[in-house]
Amino acid sequence: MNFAEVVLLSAAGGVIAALAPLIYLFYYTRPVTFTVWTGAVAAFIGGFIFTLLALQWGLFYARFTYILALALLLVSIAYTYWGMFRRRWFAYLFAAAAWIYIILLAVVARALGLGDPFII
Amino acid sequence: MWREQAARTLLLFLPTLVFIIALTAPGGDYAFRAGPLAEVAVGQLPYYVYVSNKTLHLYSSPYAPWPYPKAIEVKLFYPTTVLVSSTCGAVAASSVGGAPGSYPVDVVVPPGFQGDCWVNFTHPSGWRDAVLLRVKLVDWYPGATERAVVTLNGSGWQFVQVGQDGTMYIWERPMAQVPVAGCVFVYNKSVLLTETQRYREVAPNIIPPAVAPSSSGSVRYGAFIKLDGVSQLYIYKADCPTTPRLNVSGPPPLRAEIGVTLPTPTGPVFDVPVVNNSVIYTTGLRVINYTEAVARIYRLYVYTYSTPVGLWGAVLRYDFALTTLLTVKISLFRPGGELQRVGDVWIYRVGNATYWIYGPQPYRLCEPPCGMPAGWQEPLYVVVDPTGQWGGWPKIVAVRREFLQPWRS
Amino acid sequence: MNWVALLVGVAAGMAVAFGRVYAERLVARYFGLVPPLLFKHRDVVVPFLVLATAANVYAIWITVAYGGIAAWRLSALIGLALTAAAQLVQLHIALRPTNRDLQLALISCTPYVYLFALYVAALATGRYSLWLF
Repeated sequence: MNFAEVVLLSAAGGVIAALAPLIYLFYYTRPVTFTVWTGAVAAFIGGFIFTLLALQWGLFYARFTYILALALLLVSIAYTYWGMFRRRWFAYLFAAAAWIYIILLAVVARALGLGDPFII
Repeated sequence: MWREQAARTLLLFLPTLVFIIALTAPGGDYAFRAGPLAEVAVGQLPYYVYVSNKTLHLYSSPYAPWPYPKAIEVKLFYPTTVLVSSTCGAVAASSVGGAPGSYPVDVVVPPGFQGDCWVNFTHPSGWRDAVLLRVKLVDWYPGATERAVVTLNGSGWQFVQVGQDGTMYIWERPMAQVPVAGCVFVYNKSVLLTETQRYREVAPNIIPPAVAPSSSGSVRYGAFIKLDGVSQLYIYKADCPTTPRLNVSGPPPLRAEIGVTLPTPTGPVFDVPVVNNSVIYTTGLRVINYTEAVARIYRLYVYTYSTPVGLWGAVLRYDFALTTLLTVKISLFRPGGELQRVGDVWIYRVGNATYWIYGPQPYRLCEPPCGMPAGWQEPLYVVVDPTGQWGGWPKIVAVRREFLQPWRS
Repeated sequence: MNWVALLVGVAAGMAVAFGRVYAERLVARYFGLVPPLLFKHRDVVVPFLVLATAANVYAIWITVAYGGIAAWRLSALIGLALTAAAQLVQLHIALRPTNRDLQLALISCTPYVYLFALYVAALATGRYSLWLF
């Protein structure tokens, strides 16, 4: 699987993650506010990263930090959906926890000079 | 109303047809490719196979299965397997494939088969292709491209050997050069049991070479034939057929008067060899006892061998020191009895047994004394026939070389 | 199955479906009504748009990747043209919601029926290519 295919699949995953709640909300004519659009962007990012990481399954499936990152991203997307449904922006703070976790992993790996962010 | 309902159902069904195609196509997504499922082509074949448009003109042999490795090539364009079968049991594999690529198929024509044989390639989806094998039975050992035809004239059991350089030995005596040296001997429409034994030069640069059985050195292939008049022996260059090991007793001791009389200050002494070193070699057909013996003025290299046909043999080779001594008796080999000269061989008759000897005169009395032999003597080839039925070394009438040609062109 | 084509197709289909629900919302707001009153078959049309766009993307991949276009087969060109036309019709369904949605959607199913007919004919005649002519 080459780089273009990985990016294409990740973008598809992000689009699906972002559009699924939007289609739901529009179909049932629920109010759509700025908070909802923000949640769609957050869900797109979450879906993109989730698909990107999931495509590396064969390399990392035995690492705890990798499985934890996938699980946290799923929880993050779920929180984002909740925030879009209830129109509460602070739900996105919980969602951002997964991103912060991955960024921390990357920073630690860079500081230790490791080849990939999944330490254990 | 029901038309609307039908349209609503169809709307969710029709787009899935595209995915149904992808999921149920015989070769998966490869089904969308333009072109055939697979191609069957002729693979690598020896020169004696005539090929015309997926028809192979092959040979079969009465002696063994005739293998044609990689005779057929299947080019597969889909990730699927193609089933293989043949109407004469010529193909061992039942299917080839798995991933797209090129797969060779080995053909082995069973022994004695003659006629037409189809090799069928099929696929569950209905694709099929076939290769026709037209097989002709030929009196030839499978796998060999050439053979030597040796015409022999003689009687009784003969022990034939062929060295790697093409020298043909009968009862260890070099008799002829054959163009094909190999391990497969066919005589009287059967493949003979063969032995392989290595021979090594015991001393370098002797003419003729002083060779003896050894565990290293150059190989000689040997077989026994029973001659009766003029007959032909075929020698093929091929791997040795598997031979059951025969029960052969060891060679009998060489009971004979061996030595020369030496003049010494205390009177004449008979110089008898003392065994220095003795090794037993067991081949598929014979038991060989190789012995090196030492006397005062010569060394004797001798090997005796037993055979499963009742006869036994020996080869003696003397290496005399350079002396100016005189002697009255030179007895290179004398088992007893009177020495006779018949043609180019010497014969002793002791009881029922006949000793046939080829080489220099084996026994000589000198009056007045004659000079001692010096240097390496010509080898003495001895064949002992306990029953008196053996007719001596055969005559080699002709040696011919034949090549296998395609049977149709 | 080609998962890239499938996932990209589903994503594109969801985008088209989102366009549909957005357009429905605008139209309903213009008339001051709720969408279910205006568009009777929206429960089928919205999932149909996801499915059909995914099928379109997959059909184009089928046509392009495995020699149909490279060999300039007429059957492949017809398939490609039908798919493109169906995609246009579906975009029209998505962005201009009307009460004739069901008929238009049914018409836009022509390429799938065409491809499946080619497939059945290929199987029946023992050919290993969809591109029969």
